[in-house]
Amino acid sequence: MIHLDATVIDAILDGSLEPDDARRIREHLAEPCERCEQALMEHSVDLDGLLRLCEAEVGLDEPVEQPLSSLERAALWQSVQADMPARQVPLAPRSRWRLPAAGGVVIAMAAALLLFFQLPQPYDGVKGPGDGEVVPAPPRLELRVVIGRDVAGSIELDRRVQQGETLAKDAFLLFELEADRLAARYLFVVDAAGAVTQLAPAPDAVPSLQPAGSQRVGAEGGWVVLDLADMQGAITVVAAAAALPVDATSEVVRPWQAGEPRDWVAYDILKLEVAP
Amino acid sequence: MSSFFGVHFFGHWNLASPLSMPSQPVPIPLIVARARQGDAAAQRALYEQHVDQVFGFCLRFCRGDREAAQDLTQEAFVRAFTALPELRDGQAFPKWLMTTTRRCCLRWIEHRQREAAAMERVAHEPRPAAARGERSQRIVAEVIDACPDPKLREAALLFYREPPHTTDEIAARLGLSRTAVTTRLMRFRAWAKLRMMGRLAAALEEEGS
Repeated sequence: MIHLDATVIDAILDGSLEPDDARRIREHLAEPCERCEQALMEHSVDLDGLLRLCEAEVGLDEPVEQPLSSLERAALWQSVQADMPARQVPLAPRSRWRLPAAGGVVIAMAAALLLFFQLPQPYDGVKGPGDGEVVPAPPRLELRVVIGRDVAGSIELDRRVQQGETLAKDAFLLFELEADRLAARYLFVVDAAGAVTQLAPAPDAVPSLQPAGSQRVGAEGGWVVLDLADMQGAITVVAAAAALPVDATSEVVRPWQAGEPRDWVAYDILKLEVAP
Repeated sequence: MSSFFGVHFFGHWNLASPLSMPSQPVPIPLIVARARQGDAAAQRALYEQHVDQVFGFCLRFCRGDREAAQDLTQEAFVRAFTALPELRDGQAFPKWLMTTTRRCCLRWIEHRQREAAAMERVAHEPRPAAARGERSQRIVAEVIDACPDPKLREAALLFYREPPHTTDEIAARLGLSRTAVTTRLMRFRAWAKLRMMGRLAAALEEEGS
């Protein structure tokens, strides 16, 4: 039999009580219990708070009567972001765990060093998913390339570039990627000599998961622009997306160059020619 | 504008574009792991996936007060993202977020009640129960109807059902002293709290099954 005490009451109120314990409590409270009544009287929660929780629980599976509009959602997200830096990240480990934790870190570092010197290193970059690790299937990905021209110091968008098109050297290319779900997205250009340049994310940046939808390759409404003035002959634009952020060189570019693209990475490739 | 091998960079990836729900969601632990490292896009994805449920809960808790519900939703997400390093099992994020939301709601109501009690002390007059919405009235009616003691039920009916009465009005109507009415209402509240704890436990049992 479970009686109410401060811990159990708090767990019921914040919804963290395990279902089995919840069942036992529910069965127990079907009959009056003076001890539980006393525990509730000593607790700070009052009837109105309980009633409101019951009201909120009742409609948990129902659609919201007046849902947030898209503007309210966006404004609320901005408020969440604005409020974040002012907060202190709580210190999770309690003091009694600090010593064993520090010991664990030392042992782990020693083990890692031992492994580093004893095991052969199959990759010279970051090892990505593989070796039996379950990886979600790649998203559907579409690369759109728009041609732009320098008009009085600013780039004016012209039209969408087609597969196999021959372009003049005075053109600029601007890129947009569309994926149907959350994914890390990468963009490369390969010149006629086979040299690969990573356009996005910036080669030294940590790849980030991005939400579904269409994104310009750029930030804050800007674009990454590829100036064709420095290019000549055949060029290939390679867009890739993966459900996991991975090392672009070893897990995306090299397998593709070797003709063995990873099956957990989506590719969209555009071959173009730059006129001399 | 910087230049890198003939490529001009105007910035980094655009993370602030409008979102839509993913058709095949990436596993939650993966997103939580990125969010834990402070990845704004992953945090935004978690926000987009759960904001409707959190806001809906807060809106019902606040009985339709949208402004208060939005404040509570904001508070819940800020607290959840700030404390994310404490969450070891990413899969548990949805339940953990709702726990955080409930705690925010309880803090909010405690604060409101302290203010209301202070006002009551200033006015020297206990107020009748505040008018409530349909959902609330339905639950109150169920609890009152289930009360096994007819004396408690009678006092509670007058105090909690529309139109609400003050303790003085109930005392006059039932021919009792004010102290007797207060005692009956106190006993009813203690019983009703137990009953509602049972309801909440049943809801948790249902959620877990």
